[in-house]
Amino acid sequence: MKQNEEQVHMKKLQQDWKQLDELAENPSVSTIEMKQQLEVYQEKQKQRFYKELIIFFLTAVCMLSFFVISFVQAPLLFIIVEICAIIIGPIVFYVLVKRKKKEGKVLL
Amino acid sequence: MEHEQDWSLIKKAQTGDHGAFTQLFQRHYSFLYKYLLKLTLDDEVSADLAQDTMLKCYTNLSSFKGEGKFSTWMISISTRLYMDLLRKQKREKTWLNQLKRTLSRQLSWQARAKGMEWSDVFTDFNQLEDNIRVPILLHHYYGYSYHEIGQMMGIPSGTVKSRVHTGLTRLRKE
Repeated sequence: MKQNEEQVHMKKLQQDWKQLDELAENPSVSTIEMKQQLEVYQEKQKQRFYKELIIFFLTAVCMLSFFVISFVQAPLLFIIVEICAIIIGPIVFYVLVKRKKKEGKVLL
Repeated sequence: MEHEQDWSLIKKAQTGDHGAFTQLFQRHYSFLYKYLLKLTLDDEVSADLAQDTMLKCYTNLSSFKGEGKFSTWMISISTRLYMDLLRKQKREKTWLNQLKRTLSRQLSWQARAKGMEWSDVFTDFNQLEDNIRVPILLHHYYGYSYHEIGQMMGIPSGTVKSRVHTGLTRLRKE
């Protein structure tokens, strides 16, 4: 009884989805339009890459300066930071790998 | 045959051939757009999402290993983008949850012009949560297995099965 009812519902739904397909007819996108979109996107990606590169270098310089100063001026602080990094590092790495694996599943 | 043609275009596109990529995407555009239309019920949102999917496919094409169909890969990306869009909208406008999901004005007008009518089940179905609607549509219309849908949505196949079951039970009760 339940299954019968479900089948009837599914048939109705499938009919409605077919109607939606008919409404869409034959949608298409022009080659020129697509190529333009890809070019704009590539340009944006390039800008983003350079921005990230600059941020990366600035962060690296800041961190390096901090480590050198702390090593020379306050060795104890340097050791504490190193110990924290040893503990936190693997945790961050584990989280990143887990996230990457999850994303990977979508990309089959 | 179709898979082979796709694969040859994918290989070319992976080397940076824009022409091959546009050809590949054009081959599947109609399928993608129609799928998105069933989810969003809005032609403009569907077209925007299809464009975002294209760019995402373009960025990640190197990671496509060809284990499944290109269309399946594309659908899984568009499903994720659709879910992200909903999360974003919910964050921005909480009142959106209370709105009834119906066909866009443009689609309603076109449907009326063609004398199309929609069943009550269709209306009820579109009021279900999206994490229930998506697996029902993918399984019962596109014929994807629970396992494939699980991979697309990043959830276990058991969860997909139970969501489909929950959705159908709720449709029966409404």
